[in-house]
Amino acid sequence: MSRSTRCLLGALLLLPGGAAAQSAADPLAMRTLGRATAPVTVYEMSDFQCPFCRRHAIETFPTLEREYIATGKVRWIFINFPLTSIHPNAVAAHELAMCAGRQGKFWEAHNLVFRTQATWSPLRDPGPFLTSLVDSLRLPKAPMARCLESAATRQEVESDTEGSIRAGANSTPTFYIEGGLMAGAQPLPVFRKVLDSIVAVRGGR
Amino acid sequence: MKFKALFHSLPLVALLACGPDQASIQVVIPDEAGAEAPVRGVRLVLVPYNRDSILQVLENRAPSPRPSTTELDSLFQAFREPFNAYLSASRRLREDSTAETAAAAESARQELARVRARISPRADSLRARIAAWEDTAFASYDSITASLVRRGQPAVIDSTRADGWTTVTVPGKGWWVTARAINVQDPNTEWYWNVPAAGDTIHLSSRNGRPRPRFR
Repeated sequence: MSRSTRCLLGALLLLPGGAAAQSAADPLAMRTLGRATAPVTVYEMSDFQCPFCRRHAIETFPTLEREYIATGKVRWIFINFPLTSIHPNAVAAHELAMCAGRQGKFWEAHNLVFRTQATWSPLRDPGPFLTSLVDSLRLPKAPMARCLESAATRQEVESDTEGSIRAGANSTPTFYIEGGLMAGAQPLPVFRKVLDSIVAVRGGR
Repeated sequence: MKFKALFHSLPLVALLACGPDQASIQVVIPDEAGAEAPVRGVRLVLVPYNRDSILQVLENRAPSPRPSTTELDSLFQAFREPFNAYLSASRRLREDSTAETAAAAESARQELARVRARISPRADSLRARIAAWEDTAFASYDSITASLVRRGQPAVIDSTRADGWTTVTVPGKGWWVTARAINVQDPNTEWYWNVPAAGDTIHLSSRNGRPRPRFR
């Protein structure tokens, strides 16, 4: 199987299938980091209310971003996978990040939502706190309010979740890397081993 | 080239993930200096029943009331002060090894030894009395819990890692986590937890645990 076919297969499994998402030119672009020509593509299936996803985002991802994404070795795509049965506030956080993404600030929202997880996670109604992050991110209020109320945003998150399950994920974070699934907030050396091995074969050094 | 094989060759690490039936548990208790610190090697037992409520029922049905612990409590209290003085003196000695600090630490150690020698015989005798009462009152505990486990799934047993965390699979709703840890601030007590295994993250700390006397 050629590389492009494998990438396409991964993308087909994880690609949002909602009508709104499909109407966009590239529904994953706003939550993708790295060059399109990178030899490795990583799909991170993550839940904003999951403490291990937070651990990955705060402790491991910044180094991966510096060593692999900024250097053109890896393209990184965030996939929404809120585990609603155990994380009742997660969907609201994912919707916020997606709407921030439409304003060009997905990754800023991603970082802020994870950093403030301990504050909004235990709330009975996280809405007001999450809305306050709109100000912190200096996002325009009216378009954000429209987006957060839109059923399409919810559908997009749900569609990602369905894609994650189809790809074989049942916990978060799970990483789909070139045909393999890696579960858990693995330490940096594990990521380095996997990514270096694939990059070496692909000649991306 | 297939990369799937690469994932099988990865070193096994504890699963650090959120999942519908997984719970991550961390044990954090005050260290010698009173600062909250993660504890390694704490044995966690998950069972499909509330251990304390069974013990309470058995205590209510016991042929005799629980022996009074008033005298033992006061003996433990008498031990606590010189023990903490010894801990402080030892800590100071680690930071400042002058002859004066060393002498203070030795003096604290001797005082602790004196108090221990004075209270131990009586404390051991009272401890043995309470332990014997518990053996009688709670004699049917094992058979009761064995029958509860037989009807459901067996207990889940795990231990915390160096960072105080572990991740376990909780077999269903209504399960409880029980754990005990050495109380480094008071050797006559231990930290004890018996909390519902609810949610994906469970913190066992001084907030939801309690130091209880050690009778054995």
